Amino acid sequence: MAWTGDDDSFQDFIDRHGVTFPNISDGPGEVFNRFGISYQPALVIVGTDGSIETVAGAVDDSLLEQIITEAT
Amino acid sequence: MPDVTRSTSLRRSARWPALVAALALTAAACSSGDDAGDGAGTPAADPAATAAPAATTAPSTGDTASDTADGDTATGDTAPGDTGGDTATGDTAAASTTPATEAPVAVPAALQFTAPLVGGGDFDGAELAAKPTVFWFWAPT
Repeated sequence: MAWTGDDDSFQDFIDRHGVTFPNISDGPGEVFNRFGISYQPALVIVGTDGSIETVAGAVDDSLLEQIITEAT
Repeated sequence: MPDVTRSTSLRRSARWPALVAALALTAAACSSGDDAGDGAGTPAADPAATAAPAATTAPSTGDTASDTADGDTATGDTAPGDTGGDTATGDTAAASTTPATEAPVAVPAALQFTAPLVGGGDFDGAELAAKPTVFWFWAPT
């Protein structure tokens, strides 16, 4: 979910970091607003039941693994 | 009769490696402690991280439409897709492409949106309904 930029800057970031998963172009921040996110980086976890959890800031490996475990 | 529960489980399993890979990349990009994009957490490219389309339930092999179409005639044929005057083979081909019935998945409000994708195309949140999903919010720096 890319924000504050245009498609060229988003694509440049994606290319530099080898990101291979799909990325939403959200320059205006509409999807950010939809999830109540006004900062970055952040993660939003949507559970299979539609529940939402927000994690503000960067995450390390252990926290990411914990998030994955809880999401399943 | 397809096993819907098993099908759902398999679909989750098929998607999970992609999600894990995507998240691993996310962590790598974010774990530097800086705003994403400073280059310190450059993730490695991983073809497995490409979102794979969810597996669909295999067409039913015991399709009743094709069964009832055997030996049918143009008159009184009730097989779906039958235009009349066709052969049993034609009916079988048409019927076997019909996927097994699957219970509709409720789309949570959070996923009821579409948005453009970087590089073209559109994202449809509804496609992720009933699947564990992680969105990474980032900005280029």
